[in-house]
Amino acid sequence: MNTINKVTKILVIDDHDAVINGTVNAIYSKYADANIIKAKTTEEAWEKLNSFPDRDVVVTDLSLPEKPGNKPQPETGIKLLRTIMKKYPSLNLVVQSADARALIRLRPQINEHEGGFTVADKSEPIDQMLTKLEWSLQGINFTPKEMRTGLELKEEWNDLLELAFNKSLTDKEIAKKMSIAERTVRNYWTKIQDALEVYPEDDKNLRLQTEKQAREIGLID
Amino acid sequence: MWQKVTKEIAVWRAGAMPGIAVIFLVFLARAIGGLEFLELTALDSFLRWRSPEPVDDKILIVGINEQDINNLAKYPISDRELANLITTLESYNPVVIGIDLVRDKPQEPGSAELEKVFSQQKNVIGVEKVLSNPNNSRINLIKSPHVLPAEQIGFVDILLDQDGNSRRSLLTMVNNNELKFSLPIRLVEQYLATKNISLKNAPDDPETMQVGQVELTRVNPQTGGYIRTNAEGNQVLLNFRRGENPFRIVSLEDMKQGKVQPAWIKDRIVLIGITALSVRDDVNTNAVRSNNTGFIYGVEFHAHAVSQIISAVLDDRPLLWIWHDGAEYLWIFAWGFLGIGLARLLNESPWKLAMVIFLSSVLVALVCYLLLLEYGLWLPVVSSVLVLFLNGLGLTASMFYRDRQNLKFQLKERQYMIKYMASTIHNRPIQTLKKILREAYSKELAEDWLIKELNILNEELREIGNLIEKETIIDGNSIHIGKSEVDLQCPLTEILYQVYSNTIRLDYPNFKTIKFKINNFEDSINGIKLTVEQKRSLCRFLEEAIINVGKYAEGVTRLKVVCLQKDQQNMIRVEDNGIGLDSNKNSGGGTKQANDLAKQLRGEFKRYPREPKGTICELSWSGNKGWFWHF
Repeated sequence: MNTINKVTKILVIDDHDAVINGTVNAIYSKYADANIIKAKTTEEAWEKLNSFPDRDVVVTDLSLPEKPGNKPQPETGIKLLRTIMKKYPSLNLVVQSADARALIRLRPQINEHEGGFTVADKSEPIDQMLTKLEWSLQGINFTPKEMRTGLELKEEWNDLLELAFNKSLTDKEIAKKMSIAERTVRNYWTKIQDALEVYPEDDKNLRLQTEKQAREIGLID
Repeated sequence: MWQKVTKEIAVWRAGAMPGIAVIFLVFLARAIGGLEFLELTALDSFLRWRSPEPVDDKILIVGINEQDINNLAKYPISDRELANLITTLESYNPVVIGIDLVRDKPQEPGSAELEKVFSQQKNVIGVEKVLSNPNNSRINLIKSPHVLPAEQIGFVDILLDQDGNSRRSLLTMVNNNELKFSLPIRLVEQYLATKNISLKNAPDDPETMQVGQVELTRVNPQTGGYIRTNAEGNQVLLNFRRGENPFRIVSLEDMKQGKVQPAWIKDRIVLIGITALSVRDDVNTNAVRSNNTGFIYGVEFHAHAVSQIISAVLDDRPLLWIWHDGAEYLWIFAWGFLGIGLARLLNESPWKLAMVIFLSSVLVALVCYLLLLEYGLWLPVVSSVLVLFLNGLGLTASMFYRDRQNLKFQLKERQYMIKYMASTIHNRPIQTLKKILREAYSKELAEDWLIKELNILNEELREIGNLIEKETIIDGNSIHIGKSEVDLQCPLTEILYQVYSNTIRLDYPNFKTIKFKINNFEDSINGIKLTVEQKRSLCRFLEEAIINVGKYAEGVTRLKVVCLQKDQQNMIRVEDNGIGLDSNKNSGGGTKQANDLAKQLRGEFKRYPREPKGTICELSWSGNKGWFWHF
């Protein structure tokens, strides 16, 4: 398999020309040969996504208009995300937002989403967005603190921690034991790490960090 | 677009069903004859309301009135009087003379003279009655004058509807295996023969009579508003000539004194009959404006029957006709559907809807009236107005009801919010103020500290201000949980998650000890059958259950909230590992509401201890979509 220079296919959604161009330019600075298509309304975005369903990642604003000339609203963006996650459950997503609290209501669906899901704060520098894009492409979950109330886990994730750290099983064996795909196990890991706020850092081992956090909080004895 | 259509279909499926049921109920009422009387009455009224037509000068009625009977001092009038009258009339050359007088026995003096007239004149038509009913003296058999040949005899039987009014005219009848013609048909036949127009059978239905190009459509048992009417013989609906004076009427005295213009008789049809109340020969009808309210004389009735056929052939005046049964039901359905459609379109404003429904009911009636007036088309106007009105009105009423329900719930919401705000004010800014006051009394007030505390107070008051501001824009489709609103039109999973998320952020002592929360909110839980109010109650249930943990589950470290569907059961469960249900008074609030809700959803509410410690609070109900949604 040729892993070198695989073209990254991206859909960028934003209703402001300046923002969309800024985002696109930043992406080109990191992924020079990226294939980028743009959409300015949720309607257009949905159409383009359905015409080009091979996108690796969708980078979207939250406050969007449904049609040209409509008022941009977070509700419209929420609706788009809801539909995208339903139809493309493994698509990687990056949501750009100034106030991520509007995303709280999508939490149950985000928890089920199989692709990467990261939230980039619009007020942060653009390279933060690029990090979130990179994470999302790796299938990683990142949601900001204000979207959570303390530590929230799904029951299955808790079972996974138990099997991994107390029974020392490998992902493959965990998958077998829980009757789920190995891919799903990997997806659970990133959700757990998001819940525990353990994110990739250059010199740290993620699994060890996760175990440390989980033990500290008392998720596992 | 497609989503819009699907949504609309869902709305119609729920909303239009009662309306469609109403339409079919009206169909049923019509089919069993419940609306027959109303439809016939409406037809009479419509016919009566029409503006007058000019006098039909092809027909002259010689009416023997009260004055004539007094002058003769004898009734029935003698054969001689009648013979003289016929001879006088014949001298003016009428086309045909119909004698709507009983002459089955000689009325001396002068029977020989009358017999002579009868045998000489080929254009004189005598009458008979062929129907009889021993229970009704008005339906009795009367023989024809024996000297007249069969082709100069017409029957004068009149059909009455159940309400005693007459709306139909008999053309022919088979009696004792003999085909009989009515007096009007005999007159029409002779009159039109002079115009070279003959009576024949319609090409597509040999039983239907055709005059020139005009088919005389037979009344069948289901014609128009009739349900299983007596449709013997060949009969047509009678389109009465409108106006108070549709025909020229002269008296016997007028004839004798020569007060009659020859032109009124020459080439015309003459009908001789009784126009005196003392001799009972009248027909009840409400379809005609007459001097005598509610009835016309028999001779006039026959004149109407003659006139409608001749005018139809010569002047294109419309006869009454009707659609096929299927088309009529479709017509009624269409108006019923309009009622539903209007209600759907205007479902925000009951008053406007009531107004529009009223106006469109008037419109239906008007359309039916104009079609009758212009084209003689008789449509089921009562049934149409009824379905439109019932559907519009029914939905209007339900809307008023919904409006009131919404108000009630908004009121409840307000009360909830006021309670919430009061406790927020008490718990936060008042506590801060107390703290500042305490420091102030102890005179240890540091300026930095004071500024910091005042800032906190400022924040807290602002927050309450925002809350109050938001409260003013609440509508019926959202619910306040904690500090923010939850849109009840979201998917149920999202609604419940927001309830959880908003509630867990509130200030309750035991929330602080929770180390982690397990929550499984899954899309499988479905709220498709739930009304907005039931969703509201579910929200309050979950809120209360979580708040109970915050208030009573001392020492809780792990909170588990599950909302999902399993084995066709929807389930909301809140589980804690706190101190548990050690005493009744700490069992938590909202038990009664939870039981009521469970009853309403035909589900179950349980609150029981968890092993090894803690409490489980659980509501479950059937997740079956129900038979209705399988369509």
